[in-house]
Amino acid sequence: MISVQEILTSIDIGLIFGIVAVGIYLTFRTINFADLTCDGSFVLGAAVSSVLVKYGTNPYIALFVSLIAGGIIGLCTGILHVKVKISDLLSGIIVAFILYSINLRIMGNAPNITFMDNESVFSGRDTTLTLAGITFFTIAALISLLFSGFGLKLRSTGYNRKFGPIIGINIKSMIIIGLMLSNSMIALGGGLFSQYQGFCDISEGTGTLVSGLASVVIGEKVLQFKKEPLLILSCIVGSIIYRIFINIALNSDVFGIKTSDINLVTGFMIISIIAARRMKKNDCA
Amino acid sequence: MKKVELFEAILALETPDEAERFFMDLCTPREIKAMKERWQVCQLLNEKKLSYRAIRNETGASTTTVTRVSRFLSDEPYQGYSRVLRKLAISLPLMCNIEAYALKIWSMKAVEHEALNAVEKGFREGLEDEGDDIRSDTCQGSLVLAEQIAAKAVSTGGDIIVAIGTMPAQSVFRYAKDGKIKLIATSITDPSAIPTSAGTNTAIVSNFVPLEPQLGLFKKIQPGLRRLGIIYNTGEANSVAIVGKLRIIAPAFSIELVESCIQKSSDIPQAVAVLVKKVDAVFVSNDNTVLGGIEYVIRVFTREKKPVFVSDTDQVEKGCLAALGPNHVDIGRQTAKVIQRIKKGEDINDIEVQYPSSTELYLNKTVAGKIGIEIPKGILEKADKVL
Repeated sequence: MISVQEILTSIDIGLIFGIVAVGIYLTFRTINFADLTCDGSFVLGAAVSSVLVKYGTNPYIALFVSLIAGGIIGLCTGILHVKVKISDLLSGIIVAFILYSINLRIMGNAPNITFMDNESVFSGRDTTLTLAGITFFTIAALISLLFSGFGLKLRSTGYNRKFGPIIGINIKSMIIIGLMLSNSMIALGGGLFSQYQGFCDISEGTGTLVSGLASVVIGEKVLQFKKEPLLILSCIVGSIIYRIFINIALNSDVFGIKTSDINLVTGFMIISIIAARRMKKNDCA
Repeated sequence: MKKVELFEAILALETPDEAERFFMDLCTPREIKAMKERWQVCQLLNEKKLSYRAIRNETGASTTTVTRVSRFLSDEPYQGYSRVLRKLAISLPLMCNIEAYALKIWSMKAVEHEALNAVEKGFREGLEDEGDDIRSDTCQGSLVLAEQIAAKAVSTGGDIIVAIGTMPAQSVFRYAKDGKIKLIATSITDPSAIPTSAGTNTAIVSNFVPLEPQLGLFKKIQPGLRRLGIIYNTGEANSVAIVGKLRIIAPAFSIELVESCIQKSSDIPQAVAVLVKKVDAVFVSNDNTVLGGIEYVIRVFTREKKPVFVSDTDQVEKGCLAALGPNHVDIGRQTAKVIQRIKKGEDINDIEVQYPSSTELYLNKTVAGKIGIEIPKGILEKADKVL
């Protein structure tokens, strides 16, 4: 049986990683750029916010600085791609690679910082509600941006890179802005996660991309929104569903399933969601 | 009327006689019999001595009743049975001299790793006869998964979480601090990573062995040791703490420390290649990443006729020259002892940090012969195991 506490934890983590999934959506879907910076920028956000909170900065300001730091890293990846002409995959990989050392520097060369006694955005408040508030605010801002004329230009980058320049859209700057937006979201997620846990570890970025992409796909298949800005919302829902999947897998020990098998179980659940939707479509046709 | 009002009425009962009168009025004889039967089944199930069928024969309850009670006892979220059983078990030993009660214990390992598995084995052995319900999970090195496992353990009515490794311990610490569960963090090299203070419901078992005796030993085995190489993962908090201490004490042994940092096990070959020409010997402490690829380190260094020292005694048979370190199974047993102390009613907050009670010296004579080092007789005699 899955308990309320577990579901709440899944929702908490789902909301945090939902913001990360939105970041991944912005690159992989909106501007069609396979950005692998995310594993690094997630830890960057966590590191920046942890260090600031540890030395007594207001936790909200710390989150904001994380967001800015992520944006700067996105800018770096963008410049590598647009100006230095390194391919999208490689520029992301290089930046994430470099970030490992930078993150360690930020954390004062310690791979692990704890600040459980310091004030975080969650102190004295209901965790889930706080997270829901922060997520809502972030998503609302992002959706209104994507619905604007500027957002239309940004989205066109993903659809047709040849056509944009003809009607006067500067594709290169759109790619850079997209990367900045995306990585600032991911770093914000990292900052939130570190404050949620009360510590930050240099290894916590591993798997960010995989869980984020899985969330994006689950959200798209389950909600099936057609209008693009709304798809942002489905990332959050997808992320929560993904965490609940893991929860179900964790609770399948009655069937002899061990923790080491949960990737298998979660993977199958994701495949079955996609397959179920596919079959339904075929029926209609 | 709400259900709560009935339960509040039940809470007003104070003596068995009062309770009997109240329930005789409230229920039909049939209902009383059914409830009595369930409670008897519940107690028998909790003792874990009889099979379902034997319980059926003993109590006259149907098998359906037995399985239903069993399900509510262990799987359903209310956990009322187990809570009352535990309450009775805590208050009864004083009156009826009943042995210590069984607990629901969750073991959370950071990753699958020989040393951590040995700790788990040790504490399971230590609790073998206690009849506790012990469940194991591995976090696969992922912080997020650790968080979800912690939530699962807390919400299913666990009593104690044994976190093996610093990372899961940090994830559970939040819940322990809020008083939701008791945390025993074991295999922690640097206890300061977990800010325990009064009232955090946390006890720590450390696997830290002082470094001075280790350096002293290396120097005795290899008197010509001047430059000692150390390979470690900059991402492991334990290793960074150890190297920090080594930097301070090495000069006292007239040893120069040559550091080589890696981030993942595939970095080991390069780190070894850079190091092997520069140093007289290499030291690998409790670094899980490097220990994962220790065979390669051993192969290269043995070829150059230079020794590999470790702090993990299990690695000596793989071809390291010597190890002075804690026995991981013993650390597990020490953890089991902490659990037993808690069972006997000691407050977890009063339990001080436990350090390894003994260290063991393992030597590998075959390797010594291969690399042309003669281990002094005095040290050979002191060794707990010579391979």
